[in-house]
Amino acid sequence: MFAALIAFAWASAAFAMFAPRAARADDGALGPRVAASNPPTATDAPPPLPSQENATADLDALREDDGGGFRVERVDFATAFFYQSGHGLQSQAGPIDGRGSERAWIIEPMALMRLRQSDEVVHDIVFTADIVSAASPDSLDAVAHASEYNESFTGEVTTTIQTSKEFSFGARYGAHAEEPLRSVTAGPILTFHLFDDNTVFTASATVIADGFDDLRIDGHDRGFLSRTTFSGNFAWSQILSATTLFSLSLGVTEQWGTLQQTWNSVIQYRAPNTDAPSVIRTGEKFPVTRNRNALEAHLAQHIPATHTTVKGRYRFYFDENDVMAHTTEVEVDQYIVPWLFLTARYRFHVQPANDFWVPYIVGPPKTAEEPRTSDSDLEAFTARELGFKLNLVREKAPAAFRDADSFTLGFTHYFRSNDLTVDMVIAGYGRSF
Amino acid sequence: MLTRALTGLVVLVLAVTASGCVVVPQNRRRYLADPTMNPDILEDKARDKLHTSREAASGGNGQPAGGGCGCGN
Repeated sequence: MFAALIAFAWASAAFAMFAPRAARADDGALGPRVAASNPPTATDAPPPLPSQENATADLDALREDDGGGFRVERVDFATAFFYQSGHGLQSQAGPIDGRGSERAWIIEPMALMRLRQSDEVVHDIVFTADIVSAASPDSLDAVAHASEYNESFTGEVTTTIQTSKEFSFGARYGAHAEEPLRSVTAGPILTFHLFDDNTVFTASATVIADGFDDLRIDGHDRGFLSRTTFSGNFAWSQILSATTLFSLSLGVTEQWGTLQQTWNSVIQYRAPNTDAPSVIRTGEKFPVTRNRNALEAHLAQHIPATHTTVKGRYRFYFDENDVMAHTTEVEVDQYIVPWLFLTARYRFHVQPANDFWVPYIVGPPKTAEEPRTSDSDLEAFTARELGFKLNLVREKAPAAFRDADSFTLGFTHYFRSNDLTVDMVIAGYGRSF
Repeated sequence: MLTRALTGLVVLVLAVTASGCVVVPQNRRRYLADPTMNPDILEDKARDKLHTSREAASGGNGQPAGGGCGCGN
């Protein structure tokens, strides 16, 4: 099934690569294609200027010929493969009083399509599938072989309606499904384009409703749980010069409901002077609400003289569980020839443990609601990431090789100070119509 | 709360001030439209998934934080 899914994704990409050449000849798009079918000759006299009324009528007629307006402007396909290895205290796939395995592989085919409905309305559609070995609850597989593989599917649409040159509004909506979790997302987006698009302000809000199975550390399903997430984001994008872009975004998120990973465990040692087993595992527990905030800045500078682009990114995050994280990233894109460029990237992330992270507890929790976690993702650590990618842009290639598509092939190595390594390989194909 | 309000105010003032500094006309944005200046959306999605599911910090990049995946981060 997995192979079939990936084969389908790449067959679609192959179709996009070859089929449109025939289709483009007779589709209804305006502009260059009209000109190409009727190339002007030296003897052609310039056509008389149409009156405004006639020009409007001609445009309307052409739009009707366009088949109602739905037109694919761009498609992108990519498949990422992740291989993860390491150990975490929350995992039961190891000694009962030590770190268990977090080994897993993930295959993630993705597709992106930009669909134009009319001059004013455009839809960006993203489809993602994840096939996860051992699932994320690797720990759970150690006690119940219930999730040897886990598949998840996400569909998300962003619809944008451009009402004027300065203002557009829209909505983002989607759904996600995987074995233990179902989720729906919706929210509005408002965008202001100012100073001839030199300045763009975007305000968006999103509500996510998750419903999931209450899978416990012993492998049993105890029912159904839920959580709600509200996220508000404000972004500012600014052209600083003909070669410089800057953007800043601020995000605030509030969550309510069951926020813990119900199958994550915490080591529990026997309390003094009791007859309990010397060590057992108990479930983690989070507070039922959480506030989280982040501020992120990007700067991108193109250097025409060397055909280089340098990008920098900084992100500051803080939440009410005392996590205050810093992330910096530097990326260099260097053209080797005019149609091939190499991307090199380095990312550094540092975070403290949250305020209820513990390596173990002694005796049972004082109350069932007492917050506790041993999740290695919430531990204090530093993470580094190195990435390289080759990007082939055929639009810039010599005439004999030129086409409206592009290919990418990338590799990323992510490693943390608390024993986790993830390698990612990604291959992508994109085409504009 | 006060810190957040002040942060928002500073951002707003910066935005309004800086936006009036320079206007680059559309016919001078050739380099800004270069493929190297634009994000690879699908690769960014894959990397975001790694970071949001394996680190304590997520959100703030115009995307919702938390929810949508089975992880409690």
